[in-house]
Amino acid sequence: MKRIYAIEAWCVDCKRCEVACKTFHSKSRNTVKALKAEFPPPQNRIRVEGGRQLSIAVNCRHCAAPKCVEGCVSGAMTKDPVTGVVSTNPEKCVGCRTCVSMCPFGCVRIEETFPKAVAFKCDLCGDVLGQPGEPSCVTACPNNALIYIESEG
Amino acid sequence: MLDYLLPRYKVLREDDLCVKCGVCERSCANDVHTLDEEMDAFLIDHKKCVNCQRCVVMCPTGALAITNWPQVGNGSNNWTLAAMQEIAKQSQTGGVLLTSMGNPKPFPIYWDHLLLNASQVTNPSIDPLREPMETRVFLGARPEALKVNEREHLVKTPMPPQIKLDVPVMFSAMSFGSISLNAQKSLAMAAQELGTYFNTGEGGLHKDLERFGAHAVVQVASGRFGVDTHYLNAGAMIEIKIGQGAKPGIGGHLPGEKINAEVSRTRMIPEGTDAISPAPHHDIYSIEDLRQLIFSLKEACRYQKPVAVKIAAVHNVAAIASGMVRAGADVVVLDGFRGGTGAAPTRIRDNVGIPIELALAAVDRRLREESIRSQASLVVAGTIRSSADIVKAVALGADAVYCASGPLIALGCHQCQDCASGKCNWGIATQRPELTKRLNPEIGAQRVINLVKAWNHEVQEMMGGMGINAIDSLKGNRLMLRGVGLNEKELDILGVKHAGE
Amino acid sequence: MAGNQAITSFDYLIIGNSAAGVTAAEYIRAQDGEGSILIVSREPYAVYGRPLISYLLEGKTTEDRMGFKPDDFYMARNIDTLFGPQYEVVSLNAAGHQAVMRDGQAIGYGKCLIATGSVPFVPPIEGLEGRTNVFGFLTLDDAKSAWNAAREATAAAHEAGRKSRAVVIGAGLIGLKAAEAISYHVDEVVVLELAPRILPAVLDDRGAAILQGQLAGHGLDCRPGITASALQGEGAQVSSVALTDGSTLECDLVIAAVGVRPDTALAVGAGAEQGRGLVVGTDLKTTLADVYAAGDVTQVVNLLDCSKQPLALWPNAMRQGKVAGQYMAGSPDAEPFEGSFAVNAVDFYDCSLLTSGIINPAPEGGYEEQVFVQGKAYAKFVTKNGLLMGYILLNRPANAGIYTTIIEERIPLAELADDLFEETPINLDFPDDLRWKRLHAFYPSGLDKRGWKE
Repeated sequence: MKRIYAIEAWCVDCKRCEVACKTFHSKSRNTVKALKAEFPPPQNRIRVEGGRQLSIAVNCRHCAAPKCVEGCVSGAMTKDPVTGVVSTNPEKCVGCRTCVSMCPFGCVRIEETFPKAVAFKCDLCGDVLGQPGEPSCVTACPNNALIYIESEG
Repeated sequence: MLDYLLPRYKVLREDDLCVKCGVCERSCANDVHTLDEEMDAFLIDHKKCVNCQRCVVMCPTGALAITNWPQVGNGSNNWTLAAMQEIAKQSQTGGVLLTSMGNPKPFPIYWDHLLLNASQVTNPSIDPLREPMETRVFLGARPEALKVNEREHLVKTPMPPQIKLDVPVMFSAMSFGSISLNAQKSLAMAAQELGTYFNTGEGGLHKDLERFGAHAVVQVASGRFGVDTHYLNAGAMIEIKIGQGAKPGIGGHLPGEKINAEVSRTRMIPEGTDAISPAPHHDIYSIEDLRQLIFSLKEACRYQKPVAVKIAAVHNVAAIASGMVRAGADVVVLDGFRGGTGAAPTRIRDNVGIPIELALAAVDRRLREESIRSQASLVVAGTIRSSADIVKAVALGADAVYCASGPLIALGCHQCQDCASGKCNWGIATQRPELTKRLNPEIGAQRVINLVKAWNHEVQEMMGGMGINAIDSLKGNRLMLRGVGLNEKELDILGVKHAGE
Repeated sequence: MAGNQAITSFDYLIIGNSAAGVTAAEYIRAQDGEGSILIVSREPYAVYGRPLISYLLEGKTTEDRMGFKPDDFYMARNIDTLFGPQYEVVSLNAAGHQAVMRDGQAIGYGKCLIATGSVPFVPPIEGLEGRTNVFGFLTLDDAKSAWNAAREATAAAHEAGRKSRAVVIGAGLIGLKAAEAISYHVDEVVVLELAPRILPAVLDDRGAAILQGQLAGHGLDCRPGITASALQGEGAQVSSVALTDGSTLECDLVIAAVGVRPDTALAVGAGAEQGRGLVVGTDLKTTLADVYAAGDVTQVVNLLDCSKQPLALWPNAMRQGKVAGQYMAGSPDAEPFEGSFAVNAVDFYDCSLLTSGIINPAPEGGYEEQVFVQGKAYAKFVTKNGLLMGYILLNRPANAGIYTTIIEERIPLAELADDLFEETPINLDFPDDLRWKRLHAFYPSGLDKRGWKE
């Protein structure tokens, strides 16, 4: 499958990927509107760790044997057998955080919405949502610190 | 002491568009933007802004713009705000004013007073998309006479060492140290792809770039940094740098803080020491001395590589160039007074030297008059801004051009003239690892390749319009040029008729 | 009916229709496209997320969203099913490869998987048996019954001008989740716990005290150290509970959730060896020929201290189901199941609790502990010989899985960042090479670490 890989050598800690991710996962898909006016505020799936000297953008690895799927008690977290994309279904999720305790990379988080918290994570947006091409974080990266490329598994 | 200096720029932030994502804050090495959590607003230190425009380009919502500081001057043409600010700075620091990049003053730009010809009726123009269009250039001496074995279609005269350019553009000298390794590597990768050359400046050849040696011009300058036989043989051509257009008559000074481990190894000097290039070559006080150095270098590379000599365009440039050719230079490089630099005293940059257009025309004429034009190629540098400037330069007699600012702008440079601070936000004129990593050479090289390919297409278009299908046929072809808004003397020096003539 | 009439036979018989059972079926089918598969269960439902029953009562899910697999899961994989009380397997003849269901029907099989899970542990409390308002909390039917009873009791109590009250016996994970769930439907909930702290198995004393205080803020009255001595009341209805401290609590209903034990009766009856659960090899085969077991019913080796115990946790059942299915179908991908360790995630109201591994180590075991308290958060890390052995993260869930992987992969703490425990763990806490390896699984071999093809 095609995966997003983070290239530490080129990550400049700008966090444009985070902004792009929030925008894509907002209602309006407009950065200004999404970040200034939407409630609940859109959440970024990708996160930049570190600072100016050393940083890396981390998001879901879409593992071959995903621990989050193994741990999910609600059937909300699934790996698509065809595309390989690991995604979560907010309808089914009850926010128990088993996935949070299972993900080896810290790439599943919980959004405290009402009446229940729900897990959210990278959905490889470019492909999953029927939009051909790169996930929004990859497009937003100014320095090829995120590459979207056919992986070997 | 109260600082009388005013900010140069004012950062404008459109609050309706700003989403407080902090990309600007993290993008600025000058700490202009600070998101204050208590105020939930950005504090802006306008005085620190150098107008590099990194934040403007990076901002995901286009909320930023930079404008001039709105302070008006007193209306005087003499005591302009800029002139008074320079005095404020010097009375504060007591130092020489230092700046970067090329002469920004409003001197005449002769390229903009030259117009190209095009074919109409009496001779056909050529469509470069349909017809072959040659932009290949060979640099180096030509044999005085060419003996050909006509039966076997072979050239019998041995050819002096030459280099081949697929495009009439090379990247001018910028050392590793003055620019980052990633910047130099971008240019090296682009040169390889484009079939042209980058220039090591006088910073030596980093081991990572040795594999680009076939596309390197290795420079020997007054500091002799990084020079040994291995270096001289690693490149395709050797270039002796006598002078630089931005700062004729003075040397260079790379401060010790930029001499990190990698720069130190490449320049063969201790880490942290200032790298000082003397104003003169201490072994060159005459044309005869220059000849000695040229032939020492030819000897070192067993006469396999052409040797170029680069000078700043100054008042008696034609005579000097003539001497250079007679001293054995295979390529004469002229650098005009608008050429860029990583650091130069402001007064030198803005007041010393002559325009490249006039120098080029004068040198080309002089060498032809002395019948030594074919002994050397002529390469010009100093604000080649576009493909049109290239075409005009060739028509004025250049074999090819050197270009640096253009490719740097392709890499992200916004000509903020703050190279000397070492805090280049685009990762070009800096050695700070957190900044140099901002320039991924894979992207940089692609942008430079795109630029030069685009220029080359345009060169072909303009040549085709003139009915010329090889750039050699354009060389020195002043009939293809006409001047506008120039006086008799200027036209005379350029060797160009006025438009309408 | 003639006893030797041809009986229905399946290549694979799976007893139990929860995490382990359906996962095994899925992996059997992935390997063996032809073999017939039958899943039987005494529960009349397609597989559902068993831990969701409390969330159902909390209004965080609905019955139609509780399905663990898509609606066409069985059909699409050509898996036969028999779901309902009459299909409970009551006896197993391993030598004869035959199982008999409660309705008398016999099923022949090639290979059988026991995935019967857990059954509630019934505490020896006087007056517990034969009551209509005492509920377990393990199945969807349990939850629905308790829910109905709670709503009715509250309606009746309000009619009578008083508050309704439920008593939950047991403050383990199931008991506390049941208490939270039922608290949305009765006015007062009292939780009794024999042990001196709530969540005795997944918390330590200090963490339990903190959580108990936070639960009290939500009106949940937990009383560790006290349990029920007798359920009192006329007829089938319990109306009060006598406590071990001598007091008595009026109540409208009781939820008994003192614990679970592996449901091994069927296999043991057929002659399977039992320890603290069914004894299985690394291929998850029981001591009976062609009978495998997976999930809560098995005895699992705790990878951290090599103890053997049942591990009634969903992720473990998923993992064992996969391994059992692969071995049963002869998949070349099957990897031996060496053991597991506990990873618990649970939330109560706005409190989250994640725990893993060894959290209450034996004092003489050479373990060290580090504790961090900040605001509502309580974190405890147990280490031994430079390795992380377990954690408690109360209200500090961020990136907890990074700790879990450090336990699982036995990554020496000396290689990791010094502030690993103080702060939210991040990937940058790992050394360069390991970080690259972790984050770049399946990275194209033609590219270097700069993402270049050079």
